[in-house]
Amino acid sequence: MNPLEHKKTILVVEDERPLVQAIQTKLEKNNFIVVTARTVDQAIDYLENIKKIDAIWLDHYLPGEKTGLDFVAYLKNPKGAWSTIPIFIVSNTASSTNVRSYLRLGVSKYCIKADHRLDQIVEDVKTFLLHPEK
Amino acid sequence: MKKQTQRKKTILVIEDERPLLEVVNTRLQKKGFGVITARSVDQVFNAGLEKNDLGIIASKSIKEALEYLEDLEKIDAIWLDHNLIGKENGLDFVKKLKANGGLWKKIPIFVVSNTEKSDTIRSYIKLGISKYYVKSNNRLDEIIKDIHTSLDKKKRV
Repeated sequence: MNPLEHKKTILVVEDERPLVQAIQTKLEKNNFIVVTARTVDQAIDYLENIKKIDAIWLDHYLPGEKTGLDFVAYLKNPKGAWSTIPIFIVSNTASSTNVRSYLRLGVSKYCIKADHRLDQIVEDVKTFLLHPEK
Repeated sequence: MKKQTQRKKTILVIEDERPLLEVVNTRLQKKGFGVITARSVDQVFNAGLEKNDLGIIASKSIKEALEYLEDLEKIDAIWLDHNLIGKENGLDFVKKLKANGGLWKKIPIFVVSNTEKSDTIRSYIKLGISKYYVKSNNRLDEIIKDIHTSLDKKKRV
């Protein structure tokens, strides 16, 4: 059996290169497969092309016209194929309206970058995906 | 009727993100290309390439590895990501290829990268790559179509 089949694939949507690199390294060390995108349109292109994406790590502010919020609204369309993929927002923005909008749309978790160490966020994602009962 | 006699063109795809590598691999094969994949520069030069039934080839030097690959199969084009596994990036790869001369120097290189930095792009162009695609500005199928077209054109000239 292909050993890759046990591993979960995470689509990381984040535009700051050093951060992407750090997230990618940490997720891979924790046995995840990572694919990265810098914009919402690129992320949608990857979702359409890559068969198996198990979770999405998403920043709010991204280059281009669309923000993370636009992406989540698009994903959570109940008629779409992606409405059940868990989404983790990892962002600098702490505006309560944004946080509320994300939670109302049904994201799994919202982390403020400044308040959480990357390791801790990775650990949270891992717990959520591998032990959903916790 | 389709001509069957034409030799299949082979593309070497160097990309570190496995899901992307798999998609590009499948898509190019559907377009009728042979595909060889690698996730790091080191993998290419040590010929640890993943290809159907091709195993690991032990090679002492870059030059030897390249010569071996030249004998084994003609590579018609290279799809290259900038950020790769390990210390070396796509730019290091292109420098090595060009420095090694021979057949490899002339292979068209298509860089497909997340990097939008103009000095990086300029360095690639200066080294003589065929085209630079910023991943976020181009859909995957567009890039594949574009590369297909430019390789097709090349053949007819």
